[in-house]
Amino acid sequence: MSGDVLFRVEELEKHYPTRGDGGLLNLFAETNYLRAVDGVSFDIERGEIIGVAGQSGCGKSTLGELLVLLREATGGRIYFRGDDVGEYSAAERKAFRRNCQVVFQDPYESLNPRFTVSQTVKEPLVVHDLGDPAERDERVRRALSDAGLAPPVNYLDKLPAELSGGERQRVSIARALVLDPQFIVADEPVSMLDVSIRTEILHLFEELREKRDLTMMYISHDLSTINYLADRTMIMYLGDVVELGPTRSVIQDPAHPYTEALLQSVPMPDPDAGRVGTERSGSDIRGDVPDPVDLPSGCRFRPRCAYATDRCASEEPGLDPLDGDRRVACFHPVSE
Amino acid sequence: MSLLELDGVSVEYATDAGPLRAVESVDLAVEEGEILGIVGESGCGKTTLTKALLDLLPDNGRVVEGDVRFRDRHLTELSTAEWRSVRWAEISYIIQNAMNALDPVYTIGSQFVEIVRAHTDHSKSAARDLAGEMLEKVGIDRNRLRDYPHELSGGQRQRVVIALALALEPPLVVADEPTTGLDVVTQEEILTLIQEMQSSTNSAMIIITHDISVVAEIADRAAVMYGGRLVEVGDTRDVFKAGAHPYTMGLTNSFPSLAEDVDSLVSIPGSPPDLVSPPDGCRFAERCPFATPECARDPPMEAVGERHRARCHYTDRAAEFRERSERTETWSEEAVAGTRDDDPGFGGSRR
Repeated sequence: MSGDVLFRVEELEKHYPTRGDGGLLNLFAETNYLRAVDGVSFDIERGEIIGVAGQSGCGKSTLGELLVLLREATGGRIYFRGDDVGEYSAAERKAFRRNCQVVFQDPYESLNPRFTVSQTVKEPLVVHDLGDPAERDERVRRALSDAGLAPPVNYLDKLPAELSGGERQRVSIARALVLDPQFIVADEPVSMLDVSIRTEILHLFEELREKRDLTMMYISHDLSTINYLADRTMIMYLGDVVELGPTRSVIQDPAHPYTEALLQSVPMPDPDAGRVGTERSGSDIRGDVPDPVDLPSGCRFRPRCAYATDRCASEEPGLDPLDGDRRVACFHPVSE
Repeated sequence: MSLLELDGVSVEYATDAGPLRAVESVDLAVEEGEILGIVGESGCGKTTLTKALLDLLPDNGRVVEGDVRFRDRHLTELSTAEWRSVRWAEISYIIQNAMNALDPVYTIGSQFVEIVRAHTDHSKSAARDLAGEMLEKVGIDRNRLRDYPHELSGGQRQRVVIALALALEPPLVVADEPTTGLDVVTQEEILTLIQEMQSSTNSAMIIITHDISVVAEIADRAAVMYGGRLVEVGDTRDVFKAGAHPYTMGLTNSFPSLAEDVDSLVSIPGSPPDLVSPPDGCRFAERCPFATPECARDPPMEAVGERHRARCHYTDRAAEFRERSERTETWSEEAVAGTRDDDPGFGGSRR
């Protein structure tokens, strides 16, 4: 890793106003906010793959969308290569969007069924008005072969329906690559794919990082795939980052009680080591995650935490350094 | 006698490219009260097989061979009217994307009452009582009967669908990908619930999934499908710990785990066969690192143990294969292509 910072995120916030359960009286009611992302700060270094994990509704997808300006933040700042993206002119914003691409979860829904592979991958070049027809064809071919669809000529005229799930996800990846971005957000890119081809896609991301000098944010609820890919991992709970550090140490030696509990839910293909019906230690995170509207006082994980004390109810822990490069938002980090 | 017995079942779809045989001569039995996991990847025929046994095939699909026997009835011969009395009461179905399976314009309660009353002589209030009881069993307050599906979270809707499927205590429940699309924590919860509910009603269950961890966690027996065929079946532990088919080995070694690093993760090169013109012989041979010219001949289902069968010519070498299958280089494209080049019978990669 080169050590220079590509993104610096400070106190980033996305709050959605919510209005009770409908009805006239709400006009006079106080507006509540759903705090999808609630003041998170972190850096992304150039060339790294940062993993973001948490359950449905923890804000991880919203965070990815905020970073690449698919959603507007309601507070905080994002600096890209030192510049505040909030201050960008229209032209700079467009250049930024070209530089930062997204790969979505569902390769069945994120491709237009009536577009051929060639049309799908070429579209971003048309939208951004880049290159003449010959250059465009060349870039489409290069993106396809970098995404592992080689030789490209075998795929150019195919429709999504003629491709397997893995091939479709490769088309989405080629579409993201065709603009030569520096940064890609991949939101659950393998969760819809069969296990035997997930590995190939994970390897592909690693290759692309080397070959194209890419920086990535890899979002998933499943820590086992993050374990394979991410240099650093960030654990989110109810809109906030609770732990951040090198993937190995976060997974082998979790410090936050929530990380500990999340790790115990990772599925295992071993009839002797299943999750289901086994006794376990630590916090119980089963049951629906509350909406991040009425957050508890102090630590937001406190109501479910096995280690909570009075201090956790009165004070909110910050994301403080623990050891080495690790930070954890907890007064009573789990130790081995 | 087994609860359900499939005997040489083949299913074909009429397609523009000709008949596609999605399921080929499957023999499989489900015993009373057991959980059978059917695992395989997209296009292996697992969903088609279940749709065939539930009489839910689309118009262009039909069972072309074989027999499906449920207790003393031949399911393939039932009329639509007869099926109506079997569904829910005797065989219920938890469909894929069950989260969207509830009708958005009816309350949870009225959907329960309709199903219960269609299959029993319960009064409306008795049906409602049963519905409330079932909801509580799956951990949802009975007041939620008044709610519409959109008022529940994804995990809660999944629980409602499970409660519906088990409400009439059918002897057989078929669940298609019951945890796909849920996060790992909710997944675990739903599996625990399925296991608890299943043991309280003692229904037999077929769980169809692409996720081998689901089978490892809750199934008593596991059946592995590949390219429209059953390739291995046995007690879950035997299939996972002493798998005898190379595809099963590839599948278990490609599952990511927290204990290992990326270099030890296997991926099976190539893609499943085209079922419009499937290869002769073993359907996995093209992707199999252990294939030999012999594999151009169709392998029989060999007995590996008392309750354990696998469709491979080399089940006697399974222990050696298992050891080799743990190494990533065994599955490299070159290594697998090498087994093909030895034999002129394989026409190279189908892709």
